[in-house]
Amino acid sequence: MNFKETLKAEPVRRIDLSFYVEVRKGTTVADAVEKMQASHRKCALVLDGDQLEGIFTAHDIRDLARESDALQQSIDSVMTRNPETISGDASLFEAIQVLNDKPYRYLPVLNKDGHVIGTLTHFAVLKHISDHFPEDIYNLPPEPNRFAQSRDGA
Amino acid sequence: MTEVTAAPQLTRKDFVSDQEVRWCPGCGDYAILAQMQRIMPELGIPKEKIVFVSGIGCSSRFPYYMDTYGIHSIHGRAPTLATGLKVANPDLAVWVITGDGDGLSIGGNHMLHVLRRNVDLNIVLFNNRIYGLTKGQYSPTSKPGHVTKSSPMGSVEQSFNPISVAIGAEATFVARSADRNTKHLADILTKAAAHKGTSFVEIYQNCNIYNDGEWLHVTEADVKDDNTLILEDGEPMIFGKDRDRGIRLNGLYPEVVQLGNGTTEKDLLVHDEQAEGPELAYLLSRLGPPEFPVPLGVFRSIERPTYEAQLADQGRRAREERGDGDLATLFHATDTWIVPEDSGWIPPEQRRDVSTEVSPSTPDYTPDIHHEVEQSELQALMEKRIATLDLPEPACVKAETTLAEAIELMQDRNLGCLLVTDDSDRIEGIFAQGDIFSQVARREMDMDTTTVGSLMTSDPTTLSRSAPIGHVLHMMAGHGFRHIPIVNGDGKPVALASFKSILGFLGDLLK
Ligand code: SF4
Repeated sequence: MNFKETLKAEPVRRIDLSFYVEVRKGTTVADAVEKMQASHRKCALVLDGDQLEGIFTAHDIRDLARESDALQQSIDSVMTRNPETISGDASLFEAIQVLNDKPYRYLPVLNKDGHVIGTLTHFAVLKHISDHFPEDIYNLPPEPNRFAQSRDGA
Repeated sequence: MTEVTAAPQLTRKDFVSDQEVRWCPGCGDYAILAQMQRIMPELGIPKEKIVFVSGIGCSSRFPYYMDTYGIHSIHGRAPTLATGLKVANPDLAVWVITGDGDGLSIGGNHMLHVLRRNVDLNIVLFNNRIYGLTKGQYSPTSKPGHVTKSSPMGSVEQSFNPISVAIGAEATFVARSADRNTKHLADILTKAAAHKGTSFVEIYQNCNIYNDGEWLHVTEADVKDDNTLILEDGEPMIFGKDRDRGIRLNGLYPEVVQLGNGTTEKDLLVHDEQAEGPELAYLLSRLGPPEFPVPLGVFRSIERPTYEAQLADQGRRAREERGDGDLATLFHATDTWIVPEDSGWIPPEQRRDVSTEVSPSTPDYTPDIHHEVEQSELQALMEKRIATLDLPEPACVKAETTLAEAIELMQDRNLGCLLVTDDSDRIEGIFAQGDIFSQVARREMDMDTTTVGSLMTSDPTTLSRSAPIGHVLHMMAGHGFRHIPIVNGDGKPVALASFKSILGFLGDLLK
């Protein structure tokens, strides 16, 4: 099976979708940001019960940074509503095309019942692809030119 | 009063030495080095307080590549040297880097005793199941029947299971990871560093020259989830790509069960790394193919006083009770004697000269390397130069730029990152969206006085256009850097690689 076929067979839900936090509808921006900071995540999904309401990312913070009362607002007023999502059963191949065609950095992933099971990121996909080529990607010296020119001893 | 100054925040780069790395291209040792350099800054220990001690073997070259103190010592004796070092300098963070040969055969004895003594060392054993540096003889972890240079008809020896050995030797922290499971490896190394007492970490390491593919079942992306059990303290033991299988105890013996049809998580064995006795840890250490998945993670982590603390305490007590000692008195306290002249000692000039004796010549042989790799288009790409990628030009600002100006620029041009250059246009920092984020979170919102220079990451990791594309992914997937500036020979940024641009490129290629 060549690599493209592998990516077509592999569903999105199998990769690391944990790069996000969940916050409730009505949370203040300050609380959401604090939660994101604490877990080193740059994406928050805003939920109402089980239902995905919106998405809020570091990108939005950049745009809010100059507003003086930005932090006290409810997240509902600054989040992006009804964000584009992707199914956990979609193939990674599809996922890569979606990530490349759309401007989004984070795509909420839903299961069959429409519940959030994670968030798809460029990093997770790159990491997954890299895992298939460990020798060419992970087993490299700290600097590209720090390679022995010949085998030595071994 | 001593002045307390905050230690400078170190980065991965601070731990990269200027030495040329001499492992074979593609060796798993590189991946371990990368993760070690990645976690070092996070440990918050000043460089001059860190020592890497090694013995002999491929893995033992490790200290050269870390920009810390290091000792490339005697075959198998790194634990001994490290013990002395730690006892005399308890404030040092001491790492021992060893391999299956160095640590378990030549230095097997030393390993057992350092483990039971519980000296506060971090021992990392690279297990590639072969002697690499001496060109491919079987090692104490080679599988029975393994055909090698020194076992042409297959090894007739039962092999060691390093985790079982460590548990049997009373180690207080025992864990396992694999070279290619980068995130897991970083996590395990961090936990080992945090443990007080001897930490023993076995890393499955691929020797792509003499024993290629030994650990594929636990590292290959397609199969690893089915073949490994990730141990998590307090969690039921579930594994499998679909997380639908588990480990259950049937009397004294473990068995694999399918979840569902009445079997639930509640029936499964729950991991307890802090269990006082070694029974569970030992039981887990015996799991492996063909019947069981290979456990990766922390097998055992218990607290016990360290060797050096107890020794120092005895010294202190002795001094309190008997006062300071005197070396001359100690020396003359027991029998001393004079060695007579006819004791059999031969003066140097009368010794036989062995240097001129002819030694039988060893036949020269070249290792026959069978290195079959599935060459895919993408793999070939990894070796191509970054220059062949069509990467966007970076937006550059000066360090004096205010936060307000920077944000405006990023909004106008929809950028996730700015590069900061000095007066000669050389790169001196990187400023990303994430830096604004932490600023806002700290509620420091003075956008017109705060400068980019005060928030940027200084001296970022860069690559040149002639570096292989694999290196960009190495930095991104292996180290988690979101942006890699590409610079020319003068250090001037010419392009910017980001998660998005690289995935875009790979996506086009796969279309
Ligand atoms: S002989 Fe094996 S272990 Fe040694 S450097 Fe080469 S690949 Fe690595």
